[in-house]
Amino acid sequence: MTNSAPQNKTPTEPAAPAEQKELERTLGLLPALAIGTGTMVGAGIFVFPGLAAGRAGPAAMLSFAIGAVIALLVALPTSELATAMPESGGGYFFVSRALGTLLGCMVGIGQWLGLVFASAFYLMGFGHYLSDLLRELGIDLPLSVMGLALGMAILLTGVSITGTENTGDLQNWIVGSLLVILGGFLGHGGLDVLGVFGQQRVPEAFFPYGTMPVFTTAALVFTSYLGFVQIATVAGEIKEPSRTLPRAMIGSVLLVGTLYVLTIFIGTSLLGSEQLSELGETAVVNVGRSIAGTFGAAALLGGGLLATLSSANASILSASRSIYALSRDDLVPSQVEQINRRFRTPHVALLLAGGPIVVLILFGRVEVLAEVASLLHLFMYGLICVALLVLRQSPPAGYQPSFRCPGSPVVPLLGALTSFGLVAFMNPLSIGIGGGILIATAGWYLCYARTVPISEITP
Amino acid sequence: MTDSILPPSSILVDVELPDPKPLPASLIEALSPLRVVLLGWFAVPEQTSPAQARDQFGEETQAILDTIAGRFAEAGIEVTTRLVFTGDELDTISRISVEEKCDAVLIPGGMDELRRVLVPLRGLENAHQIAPFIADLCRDATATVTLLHVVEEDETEADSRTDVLEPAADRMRDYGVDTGRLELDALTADDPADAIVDRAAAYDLVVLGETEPSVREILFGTVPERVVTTTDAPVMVVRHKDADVDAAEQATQAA
Repeated sequence: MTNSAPQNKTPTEPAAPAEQKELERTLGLLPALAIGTGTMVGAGIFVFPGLAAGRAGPAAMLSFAIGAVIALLVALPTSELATAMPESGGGYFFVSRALGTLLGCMVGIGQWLGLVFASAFYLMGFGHYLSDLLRELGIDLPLSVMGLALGMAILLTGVSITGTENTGDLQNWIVGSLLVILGGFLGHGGLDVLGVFGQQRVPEAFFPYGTMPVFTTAALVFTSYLGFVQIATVAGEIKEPSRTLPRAMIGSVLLVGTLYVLTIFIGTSLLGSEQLSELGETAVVNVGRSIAGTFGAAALLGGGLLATLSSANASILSASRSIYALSRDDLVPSQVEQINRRFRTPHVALLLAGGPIVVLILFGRVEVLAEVASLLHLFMYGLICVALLVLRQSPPAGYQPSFRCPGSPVVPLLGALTSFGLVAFMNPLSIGIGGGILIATAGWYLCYARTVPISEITP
Repeated sequence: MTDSILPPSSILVDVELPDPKPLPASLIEALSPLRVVLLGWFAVPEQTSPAQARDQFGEETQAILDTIAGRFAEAGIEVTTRLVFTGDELDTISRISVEEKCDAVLIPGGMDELRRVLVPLRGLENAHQIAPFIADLCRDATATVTLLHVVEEDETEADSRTDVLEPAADRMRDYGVDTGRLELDALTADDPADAIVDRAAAYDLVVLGETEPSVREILFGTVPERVVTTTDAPVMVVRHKDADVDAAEQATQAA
């Protein structure tokens, strides 16, 4: 419906302007992969290794692997839904169409706030990297990590409202250079660990703290897998969606999952989990230093700055898209989708993303920010799987996916169970905040949007 | 006029919305023997969903596009309009030119009156591609058409006349171009692009054959880009018909 067929006019036909207003699909496979990878890679490699190793030891590798498996179990059903409904809006769109307005509303607002929490978390990570960089350079700024993160949040929001230059190419470059940095780091580090360069492994028990922390750590680090559904939120702009969407979603999860597990493996092998844990958010910089000296540290510092920034930026843009999808269905006031005439950007929606981020940075607890972001996404992920089961059970007339999720109903069922199940391993404060937000979104529905009808699935 | 039964050649004219660059009336007049596909595009930054831009600016941009289409219709031109909200206008121009099977793409420029048309040829192959379009374009006009061949080092200008320019002129005549209006021009130069750019300054319109297999390449390409950026004259890029096959295949896969 976005790509109209060529109008075969005969020369005798009078000139009649077509009333169809088309939308161009401009994103190919690589840009789509870059959206997914760019959103995810900031957290798993550059913020979590220290925190995760401190909780679970080398077994944090398993935590990241668990996250990857859950993400894959969700990526497969999401791919089917996205090819059946290649419309912008992503998870919100699928859930609202399959499971009704109440759950749709909760998922849609949850997606917006989940991205806001994620973005605040990435920006705190950015603050840590910038403060490390300034310290390395011997610059003494009277600004805390929080201050740096706040400044960047305001700057990013401002740039996304006023920026006329497309950062899409920049995003591709960032992801490309990150992959080069990480490739060198992981390749060299891997050889190190295998003893090629004669460096000693730090001998350590695989489960120094038992098996339970593996699961709580998996719940914490799941924030590293929040990007792939963002590919579905721009489905309306993706070329050849039936081919590109499944490849980009599944491919980006596999790519980042592999990188995360390798990073923990090398980090814990070279420095040991205790030392990693002491180094905190920027632990990976010291892993780089132990591999390639100052050069390694500098490369990973730069990588961390780019990756956290790219994740934060991608999340702000996705949050604004989520708000638009809600307002298009009248679940929030239509003023929020207003586009600024001068910059052609949705300034209200972008402010509704940037504003809460500033507040959350002031709250400042990195682990809680990450877990609430994960919780709100996991709620959506579980419901996406349920949506697939419902649509498979009684497919509506317009439901014609070009990619079919393999292993249904087992895969979506497992996807839903593991998504909801992972929440149980989170910190009680995170569960309280996340649950409270979801109850509030249901309240919003009851007060504001109960009478709003949502159109059926259209082919 | 052998081709009065066939529909005339078509040309894609793209305008940026909502603030289109002005199209001179003389240029619209010059297009009157052709069919026009009028593509209005609205550039959407990546922060904005194209659908969102369409919701807000759809009516307004459609009205502006219809007004421009009206100018073409008044000149007696059969015009088809397309309106696209896009993050990449080159993608859009390329896709529409394939979907609408346009024979050429216009890169607008200033024009007082169509008196002299420059047609740089790379070879005879090139002439076959351009001839039907030139025939349609010059059907009613009184403009003179200069066929220009830039000679490379191992040829002489005489060779160029007998091997390229004269057969090309025959080809044009076969399609109904009045030979009295044709001028042949062979020129030796190290850099064909520079030579064409120099010549183009004295002409009202340049018609080029596409070199690369897509409009996207040609708009970025060497010779047309340099002609466009260094002369005020409008340029028409005649598309490669083979390119349509490839692009149509891609489009089919996309659908």
